[in-house]
Amino acid sequence: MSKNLAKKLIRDLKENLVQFLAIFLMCFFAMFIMESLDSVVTGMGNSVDEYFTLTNFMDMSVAAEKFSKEDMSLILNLPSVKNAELRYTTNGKINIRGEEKKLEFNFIEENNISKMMLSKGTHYDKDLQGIWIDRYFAEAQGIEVGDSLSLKCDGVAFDEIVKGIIENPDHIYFKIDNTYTEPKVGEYGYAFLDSGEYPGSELHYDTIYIDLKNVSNQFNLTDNDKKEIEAVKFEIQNLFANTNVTCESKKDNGAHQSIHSDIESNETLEIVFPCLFISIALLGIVSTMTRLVLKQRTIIGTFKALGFARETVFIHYISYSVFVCLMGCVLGAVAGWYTLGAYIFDVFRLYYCNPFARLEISPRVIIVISLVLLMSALTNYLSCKGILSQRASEILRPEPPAVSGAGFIEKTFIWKKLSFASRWNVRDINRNKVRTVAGIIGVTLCTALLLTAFGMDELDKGVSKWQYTRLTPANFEIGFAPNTSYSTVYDYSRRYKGQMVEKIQTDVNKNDEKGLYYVTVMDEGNLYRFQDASGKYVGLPDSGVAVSSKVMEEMELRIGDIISFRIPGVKEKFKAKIYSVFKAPDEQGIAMKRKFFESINGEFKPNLLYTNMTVPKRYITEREEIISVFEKEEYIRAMKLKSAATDQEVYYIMIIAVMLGIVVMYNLGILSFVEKIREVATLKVLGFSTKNIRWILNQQSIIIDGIGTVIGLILGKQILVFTMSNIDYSTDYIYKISFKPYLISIMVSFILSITVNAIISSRAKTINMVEALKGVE
Amino acid sequence: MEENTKALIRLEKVGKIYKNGPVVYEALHDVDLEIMEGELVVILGPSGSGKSTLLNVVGGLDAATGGKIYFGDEEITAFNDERLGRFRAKDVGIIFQFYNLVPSLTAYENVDLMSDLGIDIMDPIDALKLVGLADKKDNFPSQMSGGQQQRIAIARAIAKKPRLLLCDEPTGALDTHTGREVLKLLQDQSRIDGRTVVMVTHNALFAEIADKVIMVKNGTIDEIIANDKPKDALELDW
Repeated sequence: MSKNLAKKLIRDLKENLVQFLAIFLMCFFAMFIMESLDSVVTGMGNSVDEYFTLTNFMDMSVAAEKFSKEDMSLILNLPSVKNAELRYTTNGKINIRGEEKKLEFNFIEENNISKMMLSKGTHYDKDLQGIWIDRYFAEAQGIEVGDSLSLKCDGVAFDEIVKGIIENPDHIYFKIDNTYTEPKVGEYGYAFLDSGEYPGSELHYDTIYIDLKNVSNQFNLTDNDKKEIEAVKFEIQNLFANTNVTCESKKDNGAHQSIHSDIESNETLEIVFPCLFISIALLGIVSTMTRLVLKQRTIIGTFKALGFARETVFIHYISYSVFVCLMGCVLGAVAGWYTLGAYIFDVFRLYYCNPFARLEISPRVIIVISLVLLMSALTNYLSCKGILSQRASEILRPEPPAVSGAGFIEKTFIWKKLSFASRWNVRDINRNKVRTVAGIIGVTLCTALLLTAFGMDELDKGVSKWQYTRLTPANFEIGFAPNTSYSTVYDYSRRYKGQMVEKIQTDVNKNDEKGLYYVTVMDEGNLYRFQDASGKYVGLPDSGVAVSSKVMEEMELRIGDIISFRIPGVKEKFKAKIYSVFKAPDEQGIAMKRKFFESINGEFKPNLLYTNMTVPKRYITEREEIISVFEKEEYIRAMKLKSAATDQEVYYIMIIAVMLGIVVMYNLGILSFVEKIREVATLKVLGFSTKNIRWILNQQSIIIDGIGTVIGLILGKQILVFTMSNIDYSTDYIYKISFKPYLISIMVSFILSITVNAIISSRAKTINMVEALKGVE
Repeated sequence: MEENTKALIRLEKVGKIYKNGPVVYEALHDVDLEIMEGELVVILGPSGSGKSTLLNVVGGLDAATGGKIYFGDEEITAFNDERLGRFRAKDVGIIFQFYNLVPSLTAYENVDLMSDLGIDIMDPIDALKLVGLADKKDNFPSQMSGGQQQRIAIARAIAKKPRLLLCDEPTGALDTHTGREVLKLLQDQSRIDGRTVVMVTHNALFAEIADKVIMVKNGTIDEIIANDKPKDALELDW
């Protein structure tokens, strides 16, 4: 564009500041949210991939009570297996300045799969005596290379010299035991030692790490990778059919799952809200540019008359929205990176120990910005095409007023009964259909956005109440160690008047569809309950299973379908018919009554006990059979902490939604008024009072706001359900929100609109009749 | 003034029909006309007679629906949109009744705008000096009087040194004194620079400064009057 046209553009933008500011803000907010989430998601995905690749993160692991070297040979002989390593992992203690801390010991034979990454000291060597210790723990506790550490493992106390400070990809999201609901980096740690350093009498390997030949992708698994892993898993399960062996594929690994879950939830937010904002921006472009080219009709005609090519004039006018959108998008992306993005990144660093963690720009953001610019150019082109395509002489002639009545309604008896104000408004709406539709869409989108934001806030905050008041109202949950006998758990259930539950994570199949889900077997009691999608309590079926709605959706199941599932250590698969569906906030899976499970030859082995009686925390350290004791209040506190990042995102969205509401309403209101100014001036000249005129104007805005608000509430609910159902693969909600988010959305959008319209219509009082009636320019 | 021997504009049986749904309106009917190089021609006629339409088709702002229009040896009625645009950019300067300056550009920038057409124009300051407004170069149109705005519009039109100046009611929005100054500027374009000036007006008095007066009525040329002794524009009074 030439320098003079560029100057004109800048000055025109300044003159129409409010309208273009609205478009700018929409693009700004869209890219603000997108980039803040995308920078985290991209950085997280790529850095984890880099970390996993560098350390050759295991493709799968097999766990059992004990593995021999022969067992490993069997695995190594499988054609798809490239390498395998034996490992023994156990929790022990470390004494630091008289205080005992928890330490996870990993006794290894090799360091080629899920390798340690050295920060300081010497690399692992089989012939080297010593310990390699977790960097974050070492930093928090002041441990250095060369220090002698007092350790205790499997009941034996021993000392080791620190050979290296390391990081390990298995521990990227590390909870040492079930007493932690979230990782507490630095409070406990992990360490690696050669198997020869085991202080006990005999070392029993309990895990085999496997590296597969044809799985090259370290974090983002392809379908082929998944198929390959599943095939090997199947082979290993058959190989150890009579042993209690658990196979865990890479994607089922805790770290992998947690990262994927966080990426997924951010990706959903990253799409939904920017889409809404961009829609509003495009709406703003339509209304603003239509008005601008109408206002500059004579200038456009002059340009053409002076000899400017049609393309030059087109490019000039298209540049308005493209320039504003470009500025909004780029500045929004930069602001998103440095504010919300940086904040979420910091929150994630509290949980994830990833040496390569970073914020990163993805090509996706560049593509989206390009698409926004393309869409804005196209929208702009369509808005201006009508005038810009005409001949110079046609454009220079004033546009004849549109001849349009109120349509069929004029022929009905209702028309005669309408007041002048109503007739005027009906005709005005009919004549300016595009403007009216734009107004309705604007209010609709704002209301939808408000309802989504406030609804998200309510659903998110309601999860802990739903989980711990309605579903599992028990005050305490006791977790039992694997292989704890039924009679032991039963004794506890008698003593604590509790309800026994068996909950395991295992494969659930329907034909070829397969997934790793929770299988819950319930003993009798009322401390663990189920609700359906409407929030109604539902009992478990007597002769089949109930399935959580998320699993039903993911595996495309229907009531009446037969599904099968495995119990670790049992060769045969169990089959059951689906009788009902329930909603679960997390730990998606299937649930059944103990009686039914036993009727299909299952052995009930409870590993959880729910009770309202107080259970001492010290049981975890004092009693071998107890591995965790959870108090409800602790869980609620932990959940609040966990949702801190999401809360922050929702707050940002709520603030943006309200700001957006103000900007959109004002923009549409002012455009509408400007278009009507001549008619308003005419009414004034004819003797209409300001009060009458304001009532006429407000009547129309009430109609538009009413329609927009109703549609917005319906659309908002749909967006809310879509967002929340896609936010995390393992999280679900009962999508019943109280009247509060509805009321707030209605009030905010309606009050905003009415207030803005009242302010704008008050201009009727000071309108300069002579000036307004003079001419278009 | 030298005797003009060569026609710059030639119209042969030119017609223009507007259609708006079932309504058909014939604005020009079989117009034959010749305008010589360097002539100052005034087109007179009542409202709706077709004089502005005639100016538009001559300047390529509108397309004739019948007949042929020649600019020198070239037939502009055969031009496509792009060529027509180049023709307007290079050979035609247009002056409107309401000046049609770009309000968001200064006087200088409005004149300099012509350089954006990719044609060789005179220095905008020189063009502004010619209309006596070099000191107003940084003023926006809203900061100038109607007469000043029209002079800026003339500077914009002459900056590209066109062979043809088309003026549609150039004094229609001006008072007598200012109008006279504007007319003088236009007359000088013809007398001094040898430029062809075609002016549409409803003010019959302007016929006195023209070399040729064309009377338009109901879309046809009613009469063409040659004026052997045109008056100086500053002598006019209305």
